[in-house]
Amino acid sequence: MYKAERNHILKIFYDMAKLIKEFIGIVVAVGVLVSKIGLMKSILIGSGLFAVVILCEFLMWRKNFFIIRESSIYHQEGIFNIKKVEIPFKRINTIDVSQKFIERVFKVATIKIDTGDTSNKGSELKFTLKRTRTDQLRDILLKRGTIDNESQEKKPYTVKPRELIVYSLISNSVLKGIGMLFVAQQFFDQYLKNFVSVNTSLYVDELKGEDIYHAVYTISFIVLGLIFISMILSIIYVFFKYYDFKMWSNGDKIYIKYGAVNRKSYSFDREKIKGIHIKQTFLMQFFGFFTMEIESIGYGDEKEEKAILYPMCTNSLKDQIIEDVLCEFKYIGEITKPNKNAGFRFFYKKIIFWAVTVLICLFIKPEFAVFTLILLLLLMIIGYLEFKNTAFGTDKNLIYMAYHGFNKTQSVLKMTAVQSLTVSHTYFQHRRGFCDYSIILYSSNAGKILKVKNLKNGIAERAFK
Amino acid sequence: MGYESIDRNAIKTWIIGRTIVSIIIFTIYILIKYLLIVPRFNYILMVNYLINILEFIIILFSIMESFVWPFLEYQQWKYGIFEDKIELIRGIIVRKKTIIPISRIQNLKIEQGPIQRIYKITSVNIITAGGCHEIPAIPVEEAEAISERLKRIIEMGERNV
Repeated sequence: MYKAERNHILKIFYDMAKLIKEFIGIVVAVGVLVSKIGLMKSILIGSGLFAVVILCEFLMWRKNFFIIRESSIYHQEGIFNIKKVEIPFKRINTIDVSQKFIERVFKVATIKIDTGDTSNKGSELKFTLKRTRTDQLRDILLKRGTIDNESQEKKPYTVKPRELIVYSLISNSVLKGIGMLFVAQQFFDQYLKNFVSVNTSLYVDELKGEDIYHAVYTISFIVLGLIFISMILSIIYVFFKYYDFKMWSNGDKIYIKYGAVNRKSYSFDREKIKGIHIKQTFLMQFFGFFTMEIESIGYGDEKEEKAILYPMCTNSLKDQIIEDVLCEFKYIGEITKPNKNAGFRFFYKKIIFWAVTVLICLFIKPEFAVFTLILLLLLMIIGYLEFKNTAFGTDKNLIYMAYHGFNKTQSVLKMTAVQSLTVSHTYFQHRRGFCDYSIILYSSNAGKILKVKNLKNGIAERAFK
Repeated sequence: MGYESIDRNAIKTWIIGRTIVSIIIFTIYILIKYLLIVPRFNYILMVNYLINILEFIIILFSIMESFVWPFLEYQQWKYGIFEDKIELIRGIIVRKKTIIPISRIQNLKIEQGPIQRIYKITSVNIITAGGCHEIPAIPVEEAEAISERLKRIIEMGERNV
């Protein structure tokens, strides 16, 4: 009656390739073996191992299946240790469908199903199936319980290419571009050195030979060039990642789709969203743009993935999205900011840090002490931003927190998602009537802690229930 | 129902436990010093100075941690169980007050280590969906009474909802 379904056959090859990639060292060891015991024997051993691996993969594939029942999914996995799980449709929190590039070629997709269970690390159900089947499955799972479907009654929120370019420039992905350059350099270092021998110290010697102004010009040109290339890289990266971004809500479900090469699509219950984070990098604070992320279990816990709701929006669009899609997270209560006389508390640790650095510099090379002034300036800016950004507030059902200097984050969280509140203060803070508030959240990376510092005493305890 | 202190035996268990840990750390330090560093770098004056300073710091910290801190910590530790929340107050330099609403508690775990068993005390772990909070050193009977009381409070709360 109920049919057992398994992973697509492609998954076996994919897993095998991954296994071989992980155990590449063994393959190298086999090479050593050949010289030790002769070719024939090592071929025998190698093929034996290969057969075992194939058998294992096949058995694992065979013994990993799920069955869709009347109102639940039954999942069984394992050869020796068998794990059986039955998930009622009601408990499903997030469903996400993603397609890697290879999967698109073969017209398959990976579906990931999560319940809001924090004790279970990672996702609970992950299957690679035919594209049509994953869509069908998602419809089945979402339609049970509610009557709505994926029809786009409301206009979806989309991101224009122009906005994506701006986003890639003012978010931190320029740094990511530099990171990519660095990785590329490592890669070339490893593989190209064997073929081309470029001696960089030769250039350095040449630079030394020329006069100082020329050297400065050359170096600044190189640095500017690197920044430019990393900018281009980051634009391309962001463009491919968030290409064709769509977000729309439908009754009590929210749908998100994006990606050019790796296509992702998420759908989750609005009820199960625990909170929203509105983030701004330094440049975004300057230009007045916001990134919206949400706190929901099963979303954003995979590698290289953020729990993104909308990559970049202006203030008015942000308010509109909150009004439209997540009206329960509209915070209208009172907001407390740190007092003016608390300002010093944001700076003193940084000043101590700077003083220590200066002392070390003086010991090693006194000329470097001048450069630490730049560090001081940076620390001062961070301190000022932290002071400016810190805020805290509670109303009947929501708790509002704003923190961090360079990457400002404003979090609006449901009171029910907050697991515990800790109020802490040192002796000096207590004397002036300040304290730090930190809360522990119900979230997928267990024990997510949010903290705001140096606020007035006694503003949270009473409201927190 | 106000705040209650933890059991006085906590001081003894802390002293014994931490002394053992300090001895282990110190042994490892001595081994590293005389097997790895002294034979090789003994001639460098700076290294000698640094090692002596490090030694002093380690000894000072272990004495503080094992013989001074437990008394202060015992004085600071207070917990209170109210009808809708649990409050924990602790900390010597940084004073912390944690509030856990009863409705967020997922389960309670009562734990007893070997040293705690000698003095007939246990630690109660309050586990929420976000993390774990510990009340150290409560007499066994009281711990059971607390878990019983919490169970009743939670049941009452559920009936009201």
